[in-house]
Amino acid sequence: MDALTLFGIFVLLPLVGALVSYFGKKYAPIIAVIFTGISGIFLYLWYGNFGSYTIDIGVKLNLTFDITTWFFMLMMNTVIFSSLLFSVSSKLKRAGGFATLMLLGFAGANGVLLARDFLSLYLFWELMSWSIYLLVLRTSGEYARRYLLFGVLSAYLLIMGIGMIYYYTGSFLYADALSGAIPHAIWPWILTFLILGFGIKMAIVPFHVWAPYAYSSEQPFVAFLSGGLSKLGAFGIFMSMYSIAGISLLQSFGTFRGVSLMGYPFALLGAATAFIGTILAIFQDDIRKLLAYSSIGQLGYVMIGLGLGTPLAIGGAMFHAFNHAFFKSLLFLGAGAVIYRTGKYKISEMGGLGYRMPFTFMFVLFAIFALAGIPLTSGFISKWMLYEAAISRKFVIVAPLMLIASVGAYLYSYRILYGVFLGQLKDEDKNVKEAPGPMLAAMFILMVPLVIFSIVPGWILGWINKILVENGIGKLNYTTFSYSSAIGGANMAVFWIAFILLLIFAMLMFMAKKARVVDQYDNYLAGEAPPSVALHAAHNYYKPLRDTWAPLLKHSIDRAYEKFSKFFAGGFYEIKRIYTGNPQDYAAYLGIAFLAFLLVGWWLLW
Amino acid sequence: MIRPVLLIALPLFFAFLSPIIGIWSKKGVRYLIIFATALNATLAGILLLEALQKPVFDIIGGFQPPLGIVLMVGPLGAIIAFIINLVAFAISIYNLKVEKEPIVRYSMLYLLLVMGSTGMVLTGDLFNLFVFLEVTSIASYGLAAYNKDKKGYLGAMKYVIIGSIGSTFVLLGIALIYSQLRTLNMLDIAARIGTMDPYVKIMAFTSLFLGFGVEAEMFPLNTWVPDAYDGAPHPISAAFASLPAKAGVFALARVIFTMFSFTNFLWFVVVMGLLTVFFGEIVAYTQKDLKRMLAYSSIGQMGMIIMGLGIGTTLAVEGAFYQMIAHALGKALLFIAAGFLIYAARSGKIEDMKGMARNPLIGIPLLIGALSIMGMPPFAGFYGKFFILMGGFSQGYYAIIALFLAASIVEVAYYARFIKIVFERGNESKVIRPDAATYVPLIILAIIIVVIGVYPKPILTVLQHVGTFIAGGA
Repeated sequence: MDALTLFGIFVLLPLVGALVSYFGKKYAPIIAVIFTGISGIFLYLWYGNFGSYTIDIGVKLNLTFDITTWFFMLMMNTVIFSSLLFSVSSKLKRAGGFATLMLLGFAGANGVLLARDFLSLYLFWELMSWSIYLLVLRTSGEYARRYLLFGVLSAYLLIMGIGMIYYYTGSFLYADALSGAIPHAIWPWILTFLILGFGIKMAIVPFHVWAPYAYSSEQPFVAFLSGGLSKLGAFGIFMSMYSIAGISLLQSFGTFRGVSLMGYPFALLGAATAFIGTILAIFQDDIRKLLAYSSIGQLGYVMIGLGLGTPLAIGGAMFHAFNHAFFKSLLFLGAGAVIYRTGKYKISEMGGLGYRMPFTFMFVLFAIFALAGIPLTSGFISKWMLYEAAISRKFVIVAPLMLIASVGAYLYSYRILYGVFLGQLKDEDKNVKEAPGPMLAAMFILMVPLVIFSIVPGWILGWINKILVENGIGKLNYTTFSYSSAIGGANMAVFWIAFILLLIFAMLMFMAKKARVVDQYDNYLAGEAPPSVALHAAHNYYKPLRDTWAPLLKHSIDRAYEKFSKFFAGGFYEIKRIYTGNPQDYAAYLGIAFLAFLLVGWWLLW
Repeated sequence: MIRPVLLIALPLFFAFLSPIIGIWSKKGVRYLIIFATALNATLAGILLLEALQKPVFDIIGGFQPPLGIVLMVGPLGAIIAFIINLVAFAISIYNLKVEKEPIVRYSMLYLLLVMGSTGMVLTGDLFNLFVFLEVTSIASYGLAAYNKDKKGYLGAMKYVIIGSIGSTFVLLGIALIYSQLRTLNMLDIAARIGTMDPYVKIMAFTSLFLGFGVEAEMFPLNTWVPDAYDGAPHPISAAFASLPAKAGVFALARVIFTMFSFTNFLWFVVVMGLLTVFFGEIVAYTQKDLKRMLAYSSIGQMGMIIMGLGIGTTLAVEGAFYQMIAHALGKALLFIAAGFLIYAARSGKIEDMKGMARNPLIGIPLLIGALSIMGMPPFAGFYGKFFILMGGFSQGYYAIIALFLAASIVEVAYYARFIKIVFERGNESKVIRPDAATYVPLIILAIIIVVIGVYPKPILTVLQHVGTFIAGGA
């Protein structure tokens, strides 16, 4: 493998695919699926075939293919493959443009993952950023505008960080940052800029306000955005903290219970994100918004892990990022399938769809188990690792917030489960069919890794362990079925054996009793038969809880931003008055400018 | 081997040929300027290849420099001349859409504008530079008022007032230099600039800086920009942003680097650039009229170029030149698209253009242009902006860069607002299909923007010569 092959397969091939699929009309998604499939095949083939390369396109792009890159690319590739597969049958308008932009975003994401110098990082970061912008623009210009403002803010924060490094080292290479040229006191600035810049893409509080809007676009894209692209934020934070700066530099800023003071504030920010995201998710009636806030909350967990920075915490963060990539895109696709079949977004207007879409229901159910962290699933292991990381160092703010957020996750998961799939089937949904084949296939592909890594977490922990060792963070204690830590650990083999035994027991109990299936109405109405009754209580679902939280919920960061921008826009109109439109004023400006220049020049001379 | 003087002589020849052709075919004149600009662009391309080997000096009329007039074409001058002519070619296709008479005079003035701008870039003589500046300005005044409506006359009048004050300043600067050094050849001035009285030197520099600053749209000399751009016919607005503005800023670079090699005055140029960006972008945000918004955005972009020149490191100046190229292409594209949108909506107001760009022939080039102006990769605008920013950081201008980035967010805000409106769904029935004279130049420009953004090596190879340029070479 040489530089051009690597660059060609992971960046140029998607770019070519983007060009080709634009002209593919309604076959565009299929073409795009083939292109991502090819890079996917090479990704699996090239595991272990790692190395560093340089591409010269006028500027030098330094690329490295290593285990960290490979691990994130694995998520990215699987998620985009299944999202595109899903979109094959979702009858999008202007499918050519959709496939093109998805592949552009994919090329950008791969570039970010491969980049080992700031120029190529920034280049691919922006490529990815604007393709998301255009994908959101397909749904709504207003949402796209909100996204773009934050996307650009993120890019400019990165620029500040990159520029500071460049000032001291005169080089864009990651490896040169640690050469000692950068004064110790400057590092916190650099790291803060970089982490916040990357954090915006992860929708970290208080920069999360773009997410609910962007996540309301077309579901196949949102699955990729939430599952795939938001992980680039996690990747970037990981790289800037543990690869560019390194753990020993982080520790040199002082520690709090063994956690760097550079990382702890971001762990707190992550905890706040997990908490706020989850609380807001509970009260959403729009299924897209609910999943969006849930996504914000789950990425907060990842941020906590990256901030704490112990091997267990980072391992948990990586594992959780991996899980989130699969279960959240699966949920978005499941929501997409439901929306595709019913045309409805509001949870309170749906219900009972599990009877009509059993496979979708099954996939979504498994994703929800993983999301809520129910033991048996891989979502449980990753969350448990993060809890242990927080509890073992006695973090009394972070750990409780995480636990509350986890309970909240149950609440909103149940809202989806009950509101959409269980309960009473609406009359107008009587004719709803199961989602088309490609959609089911896409969801199935996403479910497979979730199932596998629930049973044998050791495989994925092996990759994560390699990442940790390679970056000098430490190592994990794990076996094929379990991991262990100073205060416990988890053994999935035990869980599964217990689960299977209990299942057999429950089955026996269930079989022993003679059950009779009655109509839903008979159950509720005791045999009386009015023509139609709304039995589905999905409206105002968590009202009592909402009333309790009302004083807190009335503060909105969204509105604060709007006020902020109004304030500035008002100022802009004042500044505009300089351009009076009167040529006499303009001539006067010229004279004043001449005098001012002259005086400054003479003053400099003097 | 071609002589640079052809790039000036040929447009002049075709300009004076056009009334003759106009006698029997008005349509022929329109195609004549397409041919003339295409020929000029080709010649400029060949000249660029020559200049890459070594700078080309063309001695006019057999008088040896420093006494005679000389054309001095380095790689940088050649590439700017090439881009100016290339954009002029693209715009001349869009000129087919100009319906107002008298088209013959319009074509003449347009070719004179091209010729003047090219001349400003190619010349190596200070007074000759002034002459070309005047040619450019006068052609511009005429074209700005071409629509013969209130907006056009007012814009042109403001342009005349500010432009002639600017020209006077240039003349003053030239006079000061001549009175002290008895020479007008740029390289000769550069060689002997040390013997000038320092106070006079500052004054000469200020005069020239201000004079060319008018064309380069520097704050606070850019007050003519919005009105003139707004009142001019659409192809001319596109031409203003890419031809005289680039020539003006190149002349500014000549003044800063070739003639006066100041080092302690450069931070002031950076501050002026920042102010230009700041006011340009902020006022653009408040505009409701599309062409005025683009005009103010043009000011902002020019400010960025001036900043890049002022930072003065190799990387930043390289960025400034890259940005000149990217802005010439991108802003011409946006103005042509704006012309179509205004035609389709029958109004200049952005809010009336709901969904007008939903046709991919307009929409895709428009997005490419807007993203390139915002500095997104892989479009032309990316490298310029990134290099200028990194150059600024390498000189330690943290605060200035931070303010610049804040202004850039404002820029993104108003472009996103504009894109939101023109791509809004709703009135699909009113969306008009553009005709070939509109979408061909758009697609040409869009393809160039993408190509030099995806593969910047050719441009960056040319721009490697920036080091010699800063040191005072051609």
